[in-house]
Amino acid sequence: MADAPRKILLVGWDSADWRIIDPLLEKGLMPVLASVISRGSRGNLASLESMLSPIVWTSIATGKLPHKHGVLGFIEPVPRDESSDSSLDHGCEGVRPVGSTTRQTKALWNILSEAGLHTHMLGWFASHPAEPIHGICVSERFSLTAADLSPLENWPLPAGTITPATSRGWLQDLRVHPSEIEGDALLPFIPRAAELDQSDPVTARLLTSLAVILAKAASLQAAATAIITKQPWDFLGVYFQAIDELGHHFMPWHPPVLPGIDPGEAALFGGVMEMAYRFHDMMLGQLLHLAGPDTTLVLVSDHGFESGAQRPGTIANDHATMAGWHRRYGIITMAGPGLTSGERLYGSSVLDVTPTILHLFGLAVGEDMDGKVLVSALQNPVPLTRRPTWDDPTRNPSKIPTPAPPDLVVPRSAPTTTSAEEQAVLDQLVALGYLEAPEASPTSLRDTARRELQYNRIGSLLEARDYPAAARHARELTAECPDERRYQLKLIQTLLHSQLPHEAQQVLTTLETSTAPCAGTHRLAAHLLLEQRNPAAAMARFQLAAALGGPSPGLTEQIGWVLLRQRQWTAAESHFREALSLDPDRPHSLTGLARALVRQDRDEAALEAALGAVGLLHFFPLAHFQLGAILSKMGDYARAIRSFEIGLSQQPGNPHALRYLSLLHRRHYHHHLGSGFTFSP
Amino acid sequence: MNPLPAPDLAAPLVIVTGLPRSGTSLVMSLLAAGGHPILTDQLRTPDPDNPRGYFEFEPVKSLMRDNTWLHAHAGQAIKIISPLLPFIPPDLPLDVIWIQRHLPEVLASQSAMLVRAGKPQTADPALLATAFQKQTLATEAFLTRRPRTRVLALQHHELLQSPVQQITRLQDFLPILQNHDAMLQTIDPALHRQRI
Repeated sequence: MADAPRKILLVGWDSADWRIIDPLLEKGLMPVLASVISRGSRGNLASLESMLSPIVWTSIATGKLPHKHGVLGFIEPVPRDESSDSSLDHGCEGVRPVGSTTRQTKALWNILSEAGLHTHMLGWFASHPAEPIHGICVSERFSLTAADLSPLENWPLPAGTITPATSRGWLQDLRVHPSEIEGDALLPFIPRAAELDQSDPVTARLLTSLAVILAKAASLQAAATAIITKQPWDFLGVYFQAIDELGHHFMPWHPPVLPGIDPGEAALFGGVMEMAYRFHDMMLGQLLHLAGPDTTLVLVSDHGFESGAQRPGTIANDHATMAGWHRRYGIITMAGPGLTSGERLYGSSVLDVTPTILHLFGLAVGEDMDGKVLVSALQNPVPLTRRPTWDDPTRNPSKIPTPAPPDLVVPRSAPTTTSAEEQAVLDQLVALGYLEAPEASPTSLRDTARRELQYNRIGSLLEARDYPAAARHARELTAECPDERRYQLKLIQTLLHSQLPHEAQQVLTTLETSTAPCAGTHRLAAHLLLEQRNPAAAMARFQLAAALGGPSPGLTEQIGWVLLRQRQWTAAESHFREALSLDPDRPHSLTGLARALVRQDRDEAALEAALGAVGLLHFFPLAHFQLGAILSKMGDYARAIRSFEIGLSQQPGNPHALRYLSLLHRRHYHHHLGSGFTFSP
Repeated sequence: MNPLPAPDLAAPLVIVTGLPRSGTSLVMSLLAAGGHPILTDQLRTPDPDNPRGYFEFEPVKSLMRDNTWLHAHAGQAIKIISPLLPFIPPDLPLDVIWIQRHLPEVLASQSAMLVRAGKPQTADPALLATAFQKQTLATEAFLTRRPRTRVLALQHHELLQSPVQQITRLQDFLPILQNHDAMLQTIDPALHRQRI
């Protein structure tokens, strides 16, 4: 590491994706980022199974899986014994947005503050109310557009947005109001905007959205640059949501033109996303210029965003399908003193950001963190220091109440209602004809939010391979909502992972007899048939799934794995290549392809595919085992041993892997003997 | 290149709200008479409970499940009962006309409506009264906190007893309302039943 005190700038670009950035780099349209990459390292950043922004950005900030940090969705139920507070409640009865008090573990800014580093955080997801840190904390509500049509002078800043209170006055004046984003500022994004019919409500809403999103980004940029220039700092983190927000509005028009998209509209709006990235590049340039040449930059995104043929439709801002536009791999790039140059980062995950930054500051990494230090980004890695945890077991830091500012007028809080009272109102409204029948609507927003959080928790537990806990939560959820198909499918998936195929079959049978089949039920039925060693029947089910859901890289990949079981190497290779042609970043397809190729004695190609797999996803035991097997076949026993050891560290006790490793050690020993090595006991 | 005018921030959605049977249909009829664009599908036709009509919009009944359609109706007035207000997308600016009526009258009117429909009373009246009282406080708290929200509170009995002043207040709140006389003719004190 560098000898001089390190300064680290952590910048978050929500949804930033190499697939859009790389063509812009080639055209020279993102010169700042190009410069960073040339003197640093870059790679894919694997996201989480649940690619919801509050979940992933909290994992980035804590180094922990969601079920550990506690932020499991966008909203949460307000506890019945907790009265509403205007700094916490966004106004929906019984629920509120997740915030800093939702988090159950310390975030990076808490740890760095404890270590005495001058720490500033701006706009991070789920950071409201702002926490007291050794610096300035600006919550995500700073840039929330709370203005009505009133003039800029009457644009209140929500309470709890900024700590310390002494920074509130000068920072709030830096906000940019959407009305200040005039027409000229939008022209780079929509050059032919003058042709638009602004009286059309849809067009007006698009232009308004663009202005609002840009104003939010500009507000955070202004605050970040002001803090860098005016305040002592060792660490500054700033999060920009704009690329994701703009993607959900404008990505359907991004070239190439999708079927169903009006070419005229694509011509008008198709340049917005490119300009969005260029705008962020300009902002990054300003930040780096002010931060100074010795700053270490860590630039990340939480996930990618579909921009090509895999775009799931022509509407990206439908709440029900928004997450389907997110891609599993975001971006990471790092540059600064003591960091490698021109390096490619492989196997990086969103969980690795906090451990890496802690290590760069010479601080210990928590053993309870799920991520690792990206040592390949470091020129001269020093030994890692660890500690059991940064959390104080006697005190949950996320529950430290933020004192309400003295000028806060707390409105009279409503007394909480009992379940009986809520049901009485619901029944009365249905009887009077003001509400649809109860079987068609959720009992309450609070219950819906609670169930969604539990659903996301199950995904996190699966990711952590805590299958018993995942199964327990899944059973509770389906018992509460037996008619919710999504929950049933999740339960079946969990039971399969838990190696409970009989119970999984029972649930699936019940589901299939009570509902119409869907692609999901066919896919799970196929997996169960594979468990029963019936690949032919499994293949039939996969084909039914394809007929219902249409071709998808995931389904094509799964069929490839069935073909592998049937030892149809050429057909399997064909399917994996097809899956990769639709989505090149699929580690499971690459691993399957590697297996198909090595079985055809095409070892070099197999090795390339296997390396690609572990390069994309580090925590993937099967991929490491596959790589090890290929290396062993090629006679590279030392590297093969290393691969198996990595795989076994992720999946301890795998009997096949242990036997193979033992064999490898023997071969490696004899290999050395054959080359003249003399063993002296 | 000519500069574009600054994009017009979305016009507010006008919400007429209150508990069921508090006078929301009356306020909707006033807005209609005053020339305000109204969102209604007239699926529920006039009846003895509401001789002048309900001015409702059917998708409101399933607002808890789907609220995305509201964005398309900025500038129009729509009736949404107060328990459903939290399901309005938080980013929508609102102009809210909240009509309040003496709770015993509300409950009596609801009861009469159920009797006319041949439906049984669904809950213990005392429980319902407590629930609606808390609902009213929750509505107040919600509207106070909600950003980009203007609120005009009307009292049902004042609307009937002092219609000129209350209509003037409405017109001050929504300047688009022009036809004061037509609005005045809409109010018929004879329709004030269940007086308590």
